[in-house]
Parts: sequence; C-alpha cells; structure tokens
Amino acid sequence: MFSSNRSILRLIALVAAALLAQAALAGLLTFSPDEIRAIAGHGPWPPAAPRDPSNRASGNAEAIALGEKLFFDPRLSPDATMACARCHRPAQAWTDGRRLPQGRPVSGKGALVRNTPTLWNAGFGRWFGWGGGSDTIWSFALRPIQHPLEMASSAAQVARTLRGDRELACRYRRAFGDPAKPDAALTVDAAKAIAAFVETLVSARTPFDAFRDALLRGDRVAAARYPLAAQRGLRIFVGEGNCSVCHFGPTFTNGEFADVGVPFFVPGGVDRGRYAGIQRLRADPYNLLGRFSDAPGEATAARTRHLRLQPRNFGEFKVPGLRNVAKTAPYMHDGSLASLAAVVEHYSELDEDRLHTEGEKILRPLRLSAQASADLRAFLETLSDDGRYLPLARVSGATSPCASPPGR
Amino acid sequence: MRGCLVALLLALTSRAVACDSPGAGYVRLESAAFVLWMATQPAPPPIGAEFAVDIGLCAKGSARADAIRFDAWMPAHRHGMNSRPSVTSLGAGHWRAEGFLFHMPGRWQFTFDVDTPAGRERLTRDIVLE
Repeated sequence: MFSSNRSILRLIALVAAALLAQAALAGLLTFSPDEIRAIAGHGPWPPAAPRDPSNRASGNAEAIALGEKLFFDPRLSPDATMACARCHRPAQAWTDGRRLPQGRPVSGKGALVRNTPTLWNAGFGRWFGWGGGSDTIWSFALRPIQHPLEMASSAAQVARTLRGDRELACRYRRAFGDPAKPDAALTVDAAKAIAAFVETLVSARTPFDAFRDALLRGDRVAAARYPLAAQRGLRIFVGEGNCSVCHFGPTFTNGEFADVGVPFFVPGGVDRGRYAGIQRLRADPYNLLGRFSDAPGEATAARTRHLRLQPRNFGEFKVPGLRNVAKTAPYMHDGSLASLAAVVEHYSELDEDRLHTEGEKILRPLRLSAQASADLRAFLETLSDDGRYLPLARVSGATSPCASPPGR
Repeated sequence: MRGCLVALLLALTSRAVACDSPGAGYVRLESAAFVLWMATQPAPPPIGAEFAVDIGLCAKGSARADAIRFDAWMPAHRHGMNSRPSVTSLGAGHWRAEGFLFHMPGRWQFTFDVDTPAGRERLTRDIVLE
C-alpha cells in the first residue's frame, strides 16, 4: 500500500511538472530565425573589460583608485563646489535626472544646452559627447574640468589639488610616478585616471540577458520567464521598429550619430551636433593624433584620421546605449523627452519633415497601438540591471591605503 | 550618394594583362573595360569596426585607367560611411584602402569608380551584414 501511494505521488508530481512546463511554454513567443539572430546580436553580456591604448592608466588599479577619488572631489574646481559627480551621480545611473545640467551661472556666457549622459558602459564607445567632439574619455574629461560653465578649473588648480593633498599625491605617484612635471601634464594624467575609473562602470546583467542566453541555449522554460509584454516589445525592437539598426550590438548602440527628428535649436542659435563635433575634434590637441596619446600610431588613431565631415552631420547626435535606459530620464541630447513613454511616442508619431532631406531613410512613424507602445516600453525596462555602484575600495581592496607624505 | 572617396592615380599600362585572383577570398567584379578583384580584411567585414579593402585592377584590351575612387553606401538608406578611407599602393595594380567602417547592419554596396579617357566606369559589390 505504501508502495502504491508512492507511485501515485510520483505520478502526480510528473503530471504537475508537465502542466507547469506547458504553462511556462505558453508564455514564450515563437521567434523566427532572423529574430533570434538579431536578439543574439545584443549579447553576450558582459563583454571583456574595455581598454584604451591611448591611456596608459587604462586598467591600472592604482590609477583607477586615483581616478575614483578625483571623480568625487570638488577641489578640482577653484571654489570647491563642483566635482564630476555633481552631474554624474551614482544613485541616478550616473546622470543628474535633469533636462539640462545645473551649470555655473556666469553672466553673458550662455547656458549648458545638452543633457547629461549616463556613464554606464562609456568605456565601450568610440566617440564621446553628444556631438562626438572627443575620441577618448580622457580627452573628453578635460572639457568639463575647464569649461567656464562647469568646473571652471585650470591646470594650475588641478595640479595644486593633486600635489597639495597627501593621499592624492601618494596615489598619483603610485599610478604615474614623479609629479614633478608641468601642471598641464599633471592635468592630463588626472583626466586619464578619471577615464580609467569611468571605464570600470560596466552595467550588470539584466532580465533581457537572461532571456537572450536562455533562448540561444534552447532553454524554453527559462526563456518563458521573460514577460510576454517584453517579448512582444523586443520583437518590435528588432523588427518593424528598426531600432536595432542604430541601437545595435551588446551595448545597444552603434556608437555613431543620427538625426532622429529632435529639434536642434538652442537659445541664441543652433546646436550643430556631430558637424561641430568633428570640427572640434580635429582641432583638439588632445585627440588621438596628438602628442598626449600614449599610443601614437596608426592603429589607435585610425578612426580619427579617417573621419569624414559631411553636410548630413549637421544636427546629428550620438546614438546612446540603452542599457539601464529606464533609469536615465529625461532623454535625447537636449533632455526634451521626459519619459520612455515620450520617447516611444516620438518614434511612433515621428515628424518626417524634421529629418534631414539627405537623412537616412531608416526612420518612419511607427504608428504603434497603445498595447504595442506599452510592450516596447516593457522591453526597454528589462534592460535595467539591479546592480549598484560600489566604490572600488569596498569592492576589491585593490590598493593599499596611501599614507606616504608628499614627495616620498 | 555623395562624398566619393580618395581618387588615386593608377599606373596601369594599356596592355592587356592576365588578371588572376590575387589570392584566396577575393571576389571578381567586371565592367566593360576592367576586371577588379576585391577582398575585405577581415572577411566578412565587421559592423562598427574599421576594416580594409584590398583590390587588384586589370584593364581589358587597350583600356586605360587614370584614377579610381573607393566608396561604399547603403542604397536603401541613402547614406554612405562616416569615414573616408586612405589608400596605399601595393604596386602592380594593387591597392589597400584602410578606414572603411560600416556602422549599421543591412545591405552595403562597395563602389569602385574608374576614370578613363572615355569616361567613368563603375563596378559594384553588394554585401548584407546582419
């Protein structure tokens, strides 16, 4: 009798498992081979850590620790009121949650006109800034440090901060050696340390990544845990929405620029976007072709040397990555779209008259239903990780405390 | 399509020459007066990363090429690349163009415009990247 009861229980368990599996599979769309191929292209995640050959501090634990401290240190600004972290806040996905950054009020100097981008996964980029006016993170970091509306600092101020603080001076020595060099050189090193730190800001895995990997290994039960709404939204993203064309690859950006019909008028004129960015980059002494690169040579500088300035670059802005996009409102280069719903509506009701006449014929109004819009938003929200930024000192203990006095 | 790439003066003779493939991985293109072999390095070309194109050009009969332009575009999207490759002569009718970059998936078309005394001939090659 006992044996019979055990058999019955075993049978019940098998049937229950089969029913559960069946129910789970009912929650999985049937993706075509082309769709699966497109979905596969958005991974794997995470990729190998980014490295910048032009920055000898890239990947260097001591430089990263120094860079992290500098990132949060307001003494880089002359009045000690502004650090990088003022606009790039860890708790707000390395943005500030504002349409436009709260810059330094300076009469007659205009205002900051571009939204603060997230720093998540910045290290995988090729161009930096909404207009791509820099070709490395470290050269881009020099701009807000010296911009009159941002940190309004100088090489002298940065050098004074580095030399005058015992710990910073110690960490500098460990990372770069003797600080007895011109202020300008010290400032470039500081920017390189900050860049080395920013490179470590790689977002964690997301529900999308779990779904993608399950789909590719044929684990239908695991894949079916991904919300159906997100699956439908993903289908739109890689299909009729054409989103994957520009929001391509594991970081969900091709790293280039596009005109998506967002106005580029700003107080007093226009924001020329990529066009001005290329002009700025070519004139920048800190670009990859310049003497401050730690890897002078063909391979590293190739992308800058081969840049092409074209009329269509006017009004183009960088295609942002979409990992953690749900955490980085507001959106677009000017922060004009307050929510993901507004972004989806923008593409759904796209005003083609706003696009360049020579613009890419990729975009067209999607005319999404309310359900489809909600599905697309649901998918985008699954690109959020649940990781938190943990200061390096607490994560790895990679470097020992710096107790040496300056000069030793 | 705008913005044709670097024009390069060719030193092709007017004699007909044997036009065998320069090596493995080359694709043959042909126009009225020319045969062109091309290969990307790497193959297939990546999306979002720079690559090079190696070509060998042969003239048929008494044809003469004065210059050749390299370019690529996406016909469906009506845009070209964001980069302008640089061209290096490898001698004997062979060149390497570096700095090609296809920044999105889809159908790209390589175009090779050969200038002759009689006009311009275009050779093309389509490739679909996914």
